[in-house]
Amino acid sequence: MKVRKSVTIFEDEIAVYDEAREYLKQESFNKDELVQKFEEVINKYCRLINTTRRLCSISDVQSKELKRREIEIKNLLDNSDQGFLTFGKNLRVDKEHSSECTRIFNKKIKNKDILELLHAENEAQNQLFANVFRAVFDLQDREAQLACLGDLPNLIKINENYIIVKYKIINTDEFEENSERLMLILTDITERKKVEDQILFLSFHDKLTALFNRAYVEGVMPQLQTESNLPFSIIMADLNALKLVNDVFGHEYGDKMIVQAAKVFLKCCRKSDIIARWGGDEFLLVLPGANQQVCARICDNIKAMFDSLPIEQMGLSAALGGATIENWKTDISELISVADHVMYSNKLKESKNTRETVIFSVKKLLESKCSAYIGQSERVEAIAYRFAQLWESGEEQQGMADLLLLARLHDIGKVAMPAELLNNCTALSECELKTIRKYPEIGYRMAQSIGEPVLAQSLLALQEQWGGNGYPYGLKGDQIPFFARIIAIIKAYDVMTHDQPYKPKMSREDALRELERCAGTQFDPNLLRFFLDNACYVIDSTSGTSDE
Amino acid sequence: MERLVLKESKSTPFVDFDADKEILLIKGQAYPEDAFLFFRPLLEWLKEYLGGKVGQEVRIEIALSYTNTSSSKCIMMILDLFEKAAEQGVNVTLKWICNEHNEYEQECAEEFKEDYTFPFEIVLA
Repeated sequence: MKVRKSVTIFEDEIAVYDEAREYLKQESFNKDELVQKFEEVINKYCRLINTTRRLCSISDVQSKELKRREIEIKNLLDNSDQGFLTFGKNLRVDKEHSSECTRIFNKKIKNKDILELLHAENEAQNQLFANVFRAVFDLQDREAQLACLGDLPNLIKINENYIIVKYKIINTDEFEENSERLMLILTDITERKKVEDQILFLSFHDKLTALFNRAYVEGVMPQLQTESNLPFSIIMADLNALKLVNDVFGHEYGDKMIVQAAKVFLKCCRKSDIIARWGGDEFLLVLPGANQQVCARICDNIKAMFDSLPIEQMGLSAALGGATIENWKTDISELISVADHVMYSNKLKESKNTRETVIFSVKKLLESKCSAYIGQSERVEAIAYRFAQLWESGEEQQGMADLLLLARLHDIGKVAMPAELLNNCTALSECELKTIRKYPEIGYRMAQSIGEPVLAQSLLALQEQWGGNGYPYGLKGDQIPFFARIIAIIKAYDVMTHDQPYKPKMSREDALRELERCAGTQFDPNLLRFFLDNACYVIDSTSGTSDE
Repeated sequence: MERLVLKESKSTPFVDFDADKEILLIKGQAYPEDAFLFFRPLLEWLKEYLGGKVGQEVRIEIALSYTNTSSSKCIMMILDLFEKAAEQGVNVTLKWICNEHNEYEQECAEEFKEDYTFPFEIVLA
């Protein structure tokens, strides 16, 4: 029997075996001696079985424990959200690595070349990895090895993800020569970086428009105050009618307008300018190197671009205030203050014009949503004008203006209604009725937004009925504002005598008869009587009615 | 007799066989590449030492958290020497020290203890 190194631990047992074998070779043994030898061998064999059984048991217990520890350690590694991998001089990744590695590299990495795995577009980086990894395994001195690893980048990109890499030299097996391994610990910080970038971005930008915010401008002010930035201009811009849009269409629509305004500012300014959202509807345009003429030209461009916006933008515009300095005797904060004053002064001057623009835009938007409204407000206004002329031989001037404004804007609240609802040809459902009945309140809010409280009250009451069966509040008789009672009659007449999506027009006579039928219930009987008695004049053909 | 002291390594236990103090210590882990090569000097030292201790006390302390199979066999060979010495009149007492939080160590100790008749105490520490 050939004795191998591994069986020397069975020296005693082998000795008994060898002796018994030699004994058999003698061929001259007596029977008693043979029995004695046989017993000896049996005893040794029994001992061997026992020893082997115990060794197996011990080995099993230890294997189980080792396996348990292996699983425990693997679980720790696989759930640490870090990639752990090792490789030796051949630069091939070892079998054992944490599962995060597979995720980071998006493939199985066992036995793969680490240089291929880390390969990036940056050729210099690829070369650095190759040089350092090879050098580390060639160097003997640990300090030199660590110094070499110190040249490697600690943040790299793998598959578009940002990975922090730590490098460690380890020995995996004390028995094996060249067991030195390089360990890479990979931490994916992509999400963290995104959040950090987002936080950084938001700390200096406005989330809605992505423009710079006030904090950014205030932070860079000292750097801006250099001679090379002179002359230096500031434009302060304040959006008009944003409150109206927010009140009527909701803040989501208002936000879209703010974004639209930001686009206008971006388009009209130069690349070197800083455009910031200063506050809710205020923007600050910082124009380094811009003299008064440049500043004025940018203001003109902004105004022109606002004017060219589509009707859906509801006449979006901004009051602008510019200020320029030629030297740094005035600092930027003061300059902003000056621009602010100019802007408010302009806003006041332009307010009437702005209001008219908004009203015009709203009217146009309503007409674009439903063609039945085209010309309607003009017709109602014309009838109201003649009605007022006759009533008490003409209302006082302000009263007349208020009445005509109400006539012109009586349906303004409908602009917030969905076009499908305005163009509906069939009877409205309960839900649709509920929606459309909101328009007087919306009109009220719009009128309040443009500073017309009297108009607002009348708009709110346009659907009230003399008998108290109207909405929204069920007002009765004199509780309903006077102008609202007049316009209710004129509007009803106009609607009946013109084609509507849900109903064809009727003749003038039929319409007047229908009005008369509703005297005292829907309409003020006195005003209606007056209207009917003067119908020939009030609803003169010049009013634009299309009957007959 | 010359004291036998072996430093603990990653794969071999600390050994301190001090004939003067009559305490034999084996402590650590045992998974050398060639177990017999490591344990042979211990076995030889013990054979000589135990031969002269008839009628005297010999105390042994073993604390092994891990042994590979070959080392386990070598440990059994050592225990066999103690068993034989006890039969010949040496007052052998052995303490096998286990980690009280490690059940598998205790299980292994029980397996080592089996079949021996000399005082073999498993101590949880």
